[in-house]
Amino acid sequence: MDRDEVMEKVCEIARDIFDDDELELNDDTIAADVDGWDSLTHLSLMNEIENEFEIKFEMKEVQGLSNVGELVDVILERIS
Amino acid sequence: MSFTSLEFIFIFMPLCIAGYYLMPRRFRNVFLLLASLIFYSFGELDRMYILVAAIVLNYLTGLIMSALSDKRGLRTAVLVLSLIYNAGILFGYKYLMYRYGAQNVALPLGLSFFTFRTISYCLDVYWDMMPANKNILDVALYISFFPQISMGPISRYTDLIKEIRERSFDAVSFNEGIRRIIEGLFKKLVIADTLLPAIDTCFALDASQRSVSFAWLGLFAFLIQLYFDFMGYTDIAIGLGQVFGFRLPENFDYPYAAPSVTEFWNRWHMTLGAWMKNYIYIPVFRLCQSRKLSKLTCYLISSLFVWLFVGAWHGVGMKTIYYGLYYYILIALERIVSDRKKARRKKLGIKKEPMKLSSKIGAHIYMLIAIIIGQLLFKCESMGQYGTYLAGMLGLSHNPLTQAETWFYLKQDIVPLMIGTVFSLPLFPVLMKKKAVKMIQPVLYLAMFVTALAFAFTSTYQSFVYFRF
Repeated sequence: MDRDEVMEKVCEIARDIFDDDELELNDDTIAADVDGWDSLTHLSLMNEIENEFEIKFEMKEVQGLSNVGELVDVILERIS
Repeated sequence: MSFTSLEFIFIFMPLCIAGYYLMPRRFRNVFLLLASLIFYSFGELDRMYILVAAIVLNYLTGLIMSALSDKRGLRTAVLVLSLIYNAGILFGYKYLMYRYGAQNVALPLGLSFFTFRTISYCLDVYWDMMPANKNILDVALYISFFPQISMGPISRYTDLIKEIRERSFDAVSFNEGIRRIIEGLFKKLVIADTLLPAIDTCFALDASQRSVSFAWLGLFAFLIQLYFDFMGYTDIAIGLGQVFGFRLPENFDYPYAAPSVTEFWNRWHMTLGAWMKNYIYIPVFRLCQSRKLSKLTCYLISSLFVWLFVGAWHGVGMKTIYYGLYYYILIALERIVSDRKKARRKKLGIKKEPMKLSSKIGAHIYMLIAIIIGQLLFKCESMGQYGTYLAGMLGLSHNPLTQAETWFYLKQDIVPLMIGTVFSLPLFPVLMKKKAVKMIQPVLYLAMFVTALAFAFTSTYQSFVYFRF
């Protein structure tokens, strides 16, 4: 799976979590850019990503990633 | 030493600021650490060993966890021991307060606030968010930094340590810091403290002697006093931080203007909320997720833990548990209703519409009633007093409708009550941006400072509500 495919999959999951079919994410997107991205939806998003890619995030990744680009990098690192 | 005491305003603070900027850059953190320890010793010399022990033990915990990086089990055991130690001291004192009465046992100065920081340090190191700090002076300054030691705001280790290591002088920020200190002094001395005689008189009265109008006035004054007392302290703390080049986190964002109880708590004591989220809510939620529990169940369980801790932190005894549970139930219900509305919109394929004015007003009234009922519980000393006070507000305690004290205190406190109400709304930042106000800003701040000082010289009340938490 390449970077674009991972990003597209993350977007699909995010659209479902944030209930927004038109939601587009990119490397620079941060939580404040997305309506409804609070701690509950964040944890749901991380959990769905874990289930989808069959990976497990560390606590520093759950709490410390600063944008979607870093999230995609961690997923790529884990699945490679 | 209180931030509003004359010795702090005229001796400690000016000496600190002058000493800090006269000091060569590489000694400034050591200077701030010494200043912090001196500040603490003025308030709590005989129990200062608790703070020093917290610094040394948590510094060692970080180093040991770092050395055990490839031995997960042992590393976890060290973390658990440190958590037992840190939380044990806090809850041990809480138990003593419960056992012997809160009036007879005082918490060591800033204990719960520096405990939040020691736990933050240990967990951030355990989670590899930052490596363990090899410099004990950095750890000591993080735990004991005097603007934050007694009442916060609570900084996360990963945030404050960057500024401890590197920060730059900025004249604009320095001036903003001085203005913020003046705002804080004004809020505390001129608004919050002025309301205390009315509140004390009101809450000391027997239920049958407290008229309906005085009960409402006393509670209204308490809500304003609580907010301006804590916000005033926070302004001084943030302002002091700015003067030394730190950007400390905000604690308030106009909570009384919130449209729901959830939003109120997102805007009230925000750094406590952030701490609870990072170190209780998220770990418990993740644990529930790993057990494959539903999203709602995970939410309900992790929020319950948060609110029991928030309740326990706000005092001692069963009253605090009811306080936590009260807000937990309201916030959980708001979440369930909001999720149902969202699911319904999704099912029907309709988009969320902005709230109508009538709905906004309705939501705000609901929030205010909920907060009145909840914060009264915080103020009352027992469930018995709480029940009779609430009944008195509704005229159910065979109490009169009005009394002389209502008019006396209303006349005496009308100005702080009005200023308090107006500035509970997000008007001050808007006003400050107006050209005319900008022009008179120096005069305005000078007037605020002089007024605050006049109150400081005559005031008999010096303590903050959250002092000794």
